[in-house]
Amino acid sequence: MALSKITKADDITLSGGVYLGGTGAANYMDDYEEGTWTPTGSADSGTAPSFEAVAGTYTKIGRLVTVNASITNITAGDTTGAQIQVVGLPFTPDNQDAFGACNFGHVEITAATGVVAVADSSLDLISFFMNRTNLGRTGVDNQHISSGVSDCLFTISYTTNQ
Amino acid sequence: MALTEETINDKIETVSKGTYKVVGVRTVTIIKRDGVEISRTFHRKIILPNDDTSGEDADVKAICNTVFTQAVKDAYAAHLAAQETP
Repeated sequence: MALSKITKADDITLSGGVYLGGTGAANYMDDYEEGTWTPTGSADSGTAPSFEAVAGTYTKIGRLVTVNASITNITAGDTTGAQIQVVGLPFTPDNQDAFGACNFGHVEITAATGVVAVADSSLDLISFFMNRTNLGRTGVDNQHISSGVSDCLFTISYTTNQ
Repeated sequence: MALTEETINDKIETVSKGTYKVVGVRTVTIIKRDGVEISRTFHRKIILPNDDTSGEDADVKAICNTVFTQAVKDAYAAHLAAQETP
């Protein structure tokens, strides 16, 4: 007789995974994890920006990783046009870039209609891009930072094969 | 009542990214009260072939030294050189 319902008042621990809604590989989930990570400044050239305080958390459900980060008092690197980047991700993104929400405080960005965080699967890092009218996608660089004052929050979900 | 804290790298994984490899590290912090675990938290990071591993724990450093051969470092350098800004 097929088991149609499980009623249990305590935790359930599985040594393997579980198939949800089907029996194919695409229905199989074998991983859930929560934890922390340390967002660390990097740049595509010159010295890396430094962060006075950081906090990072992650949740991994199957292949999907969601990272949150809070970065305060960013000190810009020494190369004006170098792009602000964040390394130290908890899992390596697979071969698909992903976009997420971010908010910068105390930055000098003009004529931008929005800033997004990008999980770059080729470089294993987070970078930031703004959309500008008639200018397309432009990176957030050291020149946009109010050194020692700027801060940043972002949340982004990406997939991993890790 | 005695509280103790233990920190270990409980997962050190090699992940293939096509032409090169990265190392994933999970560090677990376990809090025990009188020898009984009451809390377990995770911290994760990935280490790339060109990262400085001199400050890593000995077990992590040993894995990185094994995985990040000169061929892997060369492949990663070639990969970086081939990248364009997204």
